[in-house]
Amino acid sequence: MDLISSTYYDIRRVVKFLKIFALVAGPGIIVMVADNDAGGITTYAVTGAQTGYSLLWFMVLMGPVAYYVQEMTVRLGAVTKRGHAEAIFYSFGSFWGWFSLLDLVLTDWMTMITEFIGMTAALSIFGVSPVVTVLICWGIMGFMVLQGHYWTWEKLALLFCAINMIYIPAAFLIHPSVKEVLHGFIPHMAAGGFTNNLFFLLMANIGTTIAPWMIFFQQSTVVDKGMQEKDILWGKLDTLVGSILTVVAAIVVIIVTGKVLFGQDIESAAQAAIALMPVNKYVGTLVAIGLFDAGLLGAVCISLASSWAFGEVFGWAHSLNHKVREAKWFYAYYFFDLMLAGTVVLIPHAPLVLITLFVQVAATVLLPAALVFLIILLNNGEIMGKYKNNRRENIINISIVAALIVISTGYSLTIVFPNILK
Amino acid sequence: MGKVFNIFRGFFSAVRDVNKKYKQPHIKMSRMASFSLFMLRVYLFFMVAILLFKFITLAVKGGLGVAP
Repeated sequence: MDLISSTYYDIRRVVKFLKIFALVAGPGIIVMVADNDAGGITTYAVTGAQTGYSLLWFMVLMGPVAYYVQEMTVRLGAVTKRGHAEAIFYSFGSFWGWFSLLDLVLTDWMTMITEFIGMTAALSIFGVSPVVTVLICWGIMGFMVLQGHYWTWEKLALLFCAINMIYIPAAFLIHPSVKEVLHGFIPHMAAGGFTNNLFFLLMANIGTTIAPWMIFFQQSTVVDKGMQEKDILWGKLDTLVGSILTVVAAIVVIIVTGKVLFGQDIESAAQAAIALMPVNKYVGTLVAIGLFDAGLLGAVCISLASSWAFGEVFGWAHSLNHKVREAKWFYAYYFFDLMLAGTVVLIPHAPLVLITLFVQVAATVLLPAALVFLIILLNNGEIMGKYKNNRRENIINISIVAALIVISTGYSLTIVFPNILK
Repeated sequence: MGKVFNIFRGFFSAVRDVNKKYKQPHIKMSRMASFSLFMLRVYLFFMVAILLFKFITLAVKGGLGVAP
């Protein structure tokens, strides 16, 4: 009888835990899965094609990096009730505020273009023209935010996060060798040794792990959701689950291309999907759908990050809980961003190569600033109170931030000067 | 025309308000924080200089790249 009653209460406890988590979860999972955007999926596809399973162990390391940076935004948002843009303006003055806001807007807009490039490339595999793809995207993105409820938007975004896991069945469909996959999780050097190309791939993977918009987005989402200091632990769990999901998605993409396309000259995720079609049309289709979903989720989150930032700074109503007439500038900017990015992709002979190059470099310019501000604010006792970084967190976070700055700068330099390592 | 002028006037007025509101930093800067911000300025100057150099070099060579 005791066993039955204790089991019953255990089950009730777990159900209660899951119910609370389902209510609080959202910002962390969404930002982490959206991090696997069109550019991210391309990076993983190329990594698998060039190195097979050799870098699977390295991808596991990216999880804690993303988690430790993003959990700081949960604490900062829940304690200050300010988005990151407003926090920078308030704490560091208008010079650093404008710098961050304008760089964020520029970087976000250019990243949005790369998302549209990914989405149009993905649907072109199914014969959908770029114009129709862009119109479909605008329709879905408009529908997501025009509900007037943060909760509805969040659940729709979580649905797209679930679709992002479409790479998992794709990995099972290609029947990878379990022994070889497990060997990939043991740290070892890729075949061919430490080449310039491998260095570039490592930096590209780190570069896709943390992007400036993620910091602004998650902090604004935490505020818009109305998370309080008591929710911080749940917010951290949400971020942890998100960081696990993002690593899982990255790993399965690498497994798919590492198994089927290893040694082939793959330059994009869309190209990988096309190359996978003759091998297994279901896998190719799943990868193409995943790429479209990744671009869509990325575009929604990135555009919202900018809209929230503008709203916070200019004092506009800036919540997804507002109707259009209540927050017209917030929604106007959101749609302006979407339409401008979508239109650029449709312009014949637009300098998309240059835009893709500069988006990576511009993000590198903003990332150190956003990270440094984050560390300074998280160490300020007046602002954070008992939620300020402790010594252990500072050691971990400052090490990660310093490494990210050095590596992302190196990545940026190799993009601007491709022959610097040769 | 008058409407457009009013929109721009409103925008610049909003920017002035933001500058006024956030004129001074509101946190007490420790020596470490001030040093970090100084290093950030040096870093950004370096990165922007590199970007400008690359952009000018590409523009001069006519190699800004177009979509395939």
